[in-house]
Amino acid sequence: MDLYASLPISQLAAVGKGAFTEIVDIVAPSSAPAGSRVDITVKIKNLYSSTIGIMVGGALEYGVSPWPTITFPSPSANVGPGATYSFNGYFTMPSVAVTIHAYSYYYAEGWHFDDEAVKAVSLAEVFAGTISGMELEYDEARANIPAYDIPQGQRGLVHIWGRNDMTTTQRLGIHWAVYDPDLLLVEDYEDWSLFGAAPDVEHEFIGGRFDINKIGNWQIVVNLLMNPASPVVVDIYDGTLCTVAAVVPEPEFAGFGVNDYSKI
Amino acid sequence: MQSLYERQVGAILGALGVAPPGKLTITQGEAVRMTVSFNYRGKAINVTLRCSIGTRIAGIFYESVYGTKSITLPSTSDWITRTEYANINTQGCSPSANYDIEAKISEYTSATLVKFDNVIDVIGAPEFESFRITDYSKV
Repeated sequence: MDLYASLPISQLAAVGKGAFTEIVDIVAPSSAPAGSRVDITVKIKNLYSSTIGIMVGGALEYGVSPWPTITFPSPSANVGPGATYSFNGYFTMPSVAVTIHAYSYYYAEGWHFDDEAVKAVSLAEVFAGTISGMELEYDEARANIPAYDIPQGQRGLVHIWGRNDMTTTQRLGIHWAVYDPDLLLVEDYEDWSLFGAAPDVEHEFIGGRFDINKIGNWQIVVNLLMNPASPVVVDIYDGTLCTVAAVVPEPEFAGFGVNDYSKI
Repeated sequence: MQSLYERQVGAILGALGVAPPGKLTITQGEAVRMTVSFNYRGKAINVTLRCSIGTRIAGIFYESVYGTKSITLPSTSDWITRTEYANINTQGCSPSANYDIEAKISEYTSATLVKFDNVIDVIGAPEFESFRITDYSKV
């Protein structure tokens, strides 16, 4: 069908959103981390009264020329009258925000540009941090976690350091849970740094005191967090907090006596 | 005087012991083995058992001879019982004298010191006197 030839020139000129097609939506994330694959869907509606061939195209506007194209593995389809077809595509997110430009084309003795739509995708931050230190304080002494042979009956206090591994200042958050040898929850601690930590700067979190009253293997699960508005776990420690040994009393003798004496 | 049975048992065990406050008679220079027992709890330590023979005068013990033994005790929260001994060379004792004894863990004297008085008799080396021929006859 020679669609292009069948339409009067006046009708083509009057088209605003496309003579035969309309881009009704661009489905894409509002933000994406640099270097990540961004999947998009361009939904194009056939405005014509019969089936026509529709093709999608796309490019990224972010200050480079020519605009990089968006990949659509299956860029064209025959679409029935009034139907909307979804074209799937993708691109790699650059290190700056982009504007997606999507184009629709109809077929009439060749592909003809018909409609355009845009959508912005901002650059998402990639949160990065590290649990840079863990210590158990007990009876005014300290040991690195995992700590071993802690005397039973001490009062424990956990210290955790988180480091901001990003190039921007970030607030750091923490959540940890301490379990005794019977896997009973002993401490559930959560906090956020009041101020942001500069790049490569550590923040120390100090929990509450608890009784180390059972012999055996104590466990701790630590989550280092960033982005208080929508917390993201950036590092985890899940393992031994400490091993606790029975208290050995001071040397004590009892019942000391001479059994016998003999010639040898 | 030891019976035959006692001597046989003594041969098997190595030595026949006298329980305090029994008296042990020895010849000067014979070695004496003093056996002690005690209960212990606490951290792992190395201590010294000291067994002494001497003379107590006006409450003061004057040590004549002694023997020691190094003892290693394990870390334990529960009481454990140990039996140990030390051998004493009595060459320094005077013959024909009665002696007192003491035993202790040197590092924990106040908790372990035990003493018995007049439990060791030391006799001198074999002596002969008035040796003579009293008669001679057919047999």
